[in-house]
Amino acid sequence: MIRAALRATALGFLRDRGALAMAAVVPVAVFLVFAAVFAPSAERLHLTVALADEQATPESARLARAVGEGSGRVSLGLLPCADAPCVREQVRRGAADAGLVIRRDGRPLGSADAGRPAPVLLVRDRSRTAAAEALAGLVERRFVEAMPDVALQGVVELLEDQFVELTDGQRAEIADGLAELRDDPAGAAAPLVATEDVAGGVAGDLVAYYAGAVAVMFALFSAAHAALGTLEDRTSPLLERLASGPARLTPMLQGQFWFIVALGTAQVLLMFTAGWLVHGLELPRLLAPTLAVGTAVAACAAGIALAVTTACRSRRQAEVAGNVTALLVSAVGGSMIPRHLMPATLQAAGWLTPNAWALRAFTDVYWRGLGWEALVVPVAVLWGAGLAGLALARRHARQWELS
Amino acid sequence: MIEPRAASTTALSLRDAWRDFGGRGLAGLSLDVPAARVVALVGPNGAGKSTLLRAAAGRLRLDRGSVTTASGDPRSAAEARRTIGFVPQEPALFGALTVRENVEVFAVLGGVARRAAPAAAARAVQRLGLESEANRRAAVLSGGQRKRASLAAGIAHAPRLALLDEPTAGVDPAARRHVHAVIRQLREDAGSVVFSTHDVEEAEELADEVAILADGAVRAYGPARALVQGVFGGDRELVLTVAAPAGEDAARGIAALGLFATADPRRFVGRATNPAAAAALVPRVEALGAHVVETRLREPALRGVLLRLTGRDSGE
Repeated sequence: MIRAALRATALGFLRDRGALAMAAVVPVAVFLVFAAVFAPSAERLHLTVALADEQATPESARLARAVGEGSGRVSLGLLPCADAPCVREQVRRGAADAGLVIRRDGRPLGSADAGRPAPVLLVRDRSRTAAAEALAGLVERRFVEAMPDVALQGVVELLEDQFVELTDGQRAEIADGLAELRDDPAGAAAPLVATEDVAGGVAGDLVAYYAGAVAVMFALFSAAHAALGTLEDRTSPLLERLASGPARLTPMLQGQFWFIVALGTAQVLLMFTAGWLVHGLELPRLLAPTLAVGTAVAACAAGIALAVTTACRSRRQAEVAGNVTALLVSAVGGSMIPRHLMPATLQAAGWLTPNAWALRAFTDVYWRGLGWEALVVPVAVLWGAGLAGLALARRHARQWELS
Repeated sequence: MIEPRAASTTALSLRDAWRDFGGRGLAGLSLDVPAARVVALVGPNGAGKSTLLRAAAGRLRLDRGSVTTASGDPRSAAEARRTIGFVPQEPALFGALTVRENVEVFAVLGGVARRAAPAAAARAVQRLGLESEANRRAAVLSGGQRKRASLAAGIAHAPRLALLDEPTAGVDPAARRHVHAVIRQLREDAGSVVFSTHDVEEAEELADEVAILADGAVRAYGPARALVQGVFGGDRELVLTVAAPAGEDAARGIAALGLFATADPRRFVGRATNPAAAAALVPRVEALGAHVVETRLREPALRGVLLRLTGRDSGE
């Protein structure tokens, strides 16, 4: 009976060209867009900055140039401004992510005069706080890296003011040293922090994360759509006939469950195949673990979708509930933005979603290069949730069977 | 009133079945369907015909009462449902599947072994004269073809009790003959058939017994001729036609004379022992402001029984 129900569901799907295209093309397209948009930004941040040099001194010009060169993973596009009001306007209008003003009334760069305002003003839009924070760090870093002579000049002034009086000879030696540093700033570089990458050597980039994220999200949407199957309303003729059969709706539910598992697994494979062809994911080598996780993801999505659908009282209700559940679960589970950027409570809540477990499994395989042992818990959790959802759906279906 | 009779071998039995759907539904309905018999359910719209069939198929919770088949209570016993073939009024098919595929799927869901399903489906398709449509998708069939395909899907597992909700509504005369043949064949195969219809003549022609329903209960049950005899005795049926649809007051007055309105607002029926008795009614009807254009006496039929017992026509 289950095979017959599975066949009926599968044939219905395969003969619906629109549904087929939606299930195969749309997820891959969304994944490729996500990957193109977000994966590079995780590696490199590009900021547009409005900058005004009001001091117009050799030092302020050096700072403006040094900041404009960017550093490490931050690159900048500069919008030159004449003064602070222009910078504020560019940021307020959203033309720039943040702004910098080397202030006319600020203390000169390298000066230790605490009685005057800071030489550099950071102008920010609170909706782009992350950009402002990145820019602030960049300015501090570039000041020390590219202008060590100016930075040290301020330290010398502070020493002499607070702790020790230098002789003329010492001052002359320091001036000579600072002049050398100005000509070869790299000589002063003694970074406090060194960086070491310990993950990401397997697939090479973060595309695996987005392949997994989009795959789980679409597995949920496809499952919600497929689970609607035969449920029109309680008196729909097809439901009347199925529910009056010897096994009532059980064969249909189980047939739909296995159909959704097959569909979801195919979608995950399709997504990772696109990632392999376009972004070089190592799918051929990691096919078996990808299949294991993909099948578990699809089973979990199927269980959730069937449980939600059968809990509703009409097809329309089920459509809305299925889509809303898929959206909410995907948002909290990290399919839309990575969970480490969320508040702590939402991060914890994420473990209640299949997305979080699936993403953990996919990143363990593709990003961290961990073995099968890392997949045991996520796969067990996903299958467990899927089968529990199916059992719940069977219980809910009684309301459709006997009205 | 003619009471439902108990049968020695009962295919379906409903006892004091109650189910309220906001004033409609079942209201103490009792009915025994003997094995290997064809029973027609007739009655006006809202009489409870479809609800009775759904209850018999095990799809309804009853507020009170019981429903049993020869294999048990279809609400709780899978084995009882296995012996039932329920065909809803609207075609119940997977639109993307062909007729043959649909019938096969429902045969298997009805308990036929997977290997035997193609042969069972082929038999059902042939019985309904759907061979030329067998490989067409259900979604592209005409309404009548879909209806026959739905019936084929309902009988492919050779049910002992077929519950058919208006199986001939909306089908052409040729298709109707196929449906009638299927119903007769099911009976010859020792199965029982309960079908609802608004076509009283069809019920008379096809059914061994007719159950007349109104307001959720069986008003009369038995062979059509016995029902007619029970209501009309030796009288004949009077058909009285007025020139224009009677107004509300006139219709009430005509009803008080023992004449019942039909689906045609100009036509009333009643009973009369002879032409003189019929003629005697004419001046009394005309006194109510209705101009009588024809009175006719005919052999009484089931439609007259329905009108007299329910006060309403079948809604055909």
